[in-house]
Amino acid sequence: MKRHELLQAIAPLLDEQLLVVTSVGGVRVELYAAQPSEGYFVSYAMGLAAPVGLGLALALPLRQVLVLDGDGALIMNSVSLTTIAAMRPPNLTYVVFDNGIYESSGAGPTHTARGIDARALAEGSGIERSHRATSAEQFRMQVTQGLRQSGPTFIHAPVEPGGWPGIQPLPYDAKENKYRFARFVERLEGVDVLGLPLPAHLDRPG
Amino acid sequence: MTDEAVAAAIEGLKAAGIDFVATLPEANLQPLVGCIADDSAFTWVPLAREEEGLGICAGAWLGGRKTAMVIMDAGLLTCCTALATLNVLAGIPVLLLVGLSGGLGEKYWMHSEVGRFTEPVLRAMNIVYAVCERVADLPRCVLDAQTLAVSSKSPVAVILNRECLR
Repeated sequence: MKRHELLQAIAPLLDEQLLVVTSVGGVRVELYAAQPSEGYFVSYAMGLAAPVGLGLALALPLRQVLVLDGDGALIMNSVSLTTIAAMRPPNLTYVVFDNGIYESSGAGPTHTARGIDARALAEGSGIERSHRATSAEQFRMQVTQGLRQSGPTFIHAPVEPGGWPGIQPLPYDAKENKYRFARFVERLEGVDVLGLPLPAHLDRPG
Repeated sequence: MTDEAVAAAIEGLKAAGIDFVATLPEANLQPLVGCIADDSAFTWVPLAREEEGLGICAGAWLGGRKTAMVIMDAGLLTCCTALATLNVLAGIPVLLLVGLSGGLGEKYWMHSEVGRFTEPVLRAMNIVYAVCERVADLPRCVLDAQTLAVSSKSPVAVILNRECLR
């Protein structure tokens, strides 16, 4: 089971009502290839996709937020599992694709390759609703449930290493990603994120 | 912090429109953290580590909130990579209220070293900051820092010196 196969399995769920935060690495380009959307934000700070998702979920409690992360990022900032558990956002679903390696940075083993259980880590941190996916169909059902039921929900998805052959890089950088995502949230929620335009008295031509 | 200093910080945060605050406990900051926790004007997130606070605040800002972190300088130093690869790289504002350890009057040897790194690190990261020297200046300092954070879409820090923390 490859990560991109699981992303393709949940592509029908990735509609224009959902906000998704991904970590840096293959998942961000595979997600975009599976289902393009303006509603994806990439955390280039490794380990901070889950905190960004938590902040979004707390700011927008009526909006479902999906975090797509990797095992290396989880291990790097596993304390955030405890903060997610403590804050109990009902609208947060946290997926960790676990290939056992730092795939984007040399393919060395992560701790999950040495027997550390990501799901047990989430449960031990206090996240009560957790699942482990053993097939693409099961994964799709678990994500569907996570987005419908009161969470937070943690889904551990063991996958084989390896990316989506021939995939194209993302067509924008971090700043453009921020602007696209913020505009998407502004349209979706009717909130002001970017604080633009300038006050009228400053925004005159010439 | 004295009641007067806590009230000044809260006044500044509210004047600046801050409605989402992430904190990490510390003895001097605890009176302020307690007030923020008890004030319904703020969504309060107690942190396990400062670095995750930058992610949480970034997500909240993307959701339309005005965000701040209340931390000590030791915590700020753990945040360098997150500041560079999240806030600076993408251009995401956050107001940082940073308690300064060390400096004149520091009684505890274990706190005497970290403070001297704080300003040089902020300068090296090209993060604008102001050292608030007097409690009376705190509301205006917080408001002005947040105004710049919003307009520049950058992290901006207010350093609380011993006069503000005592």
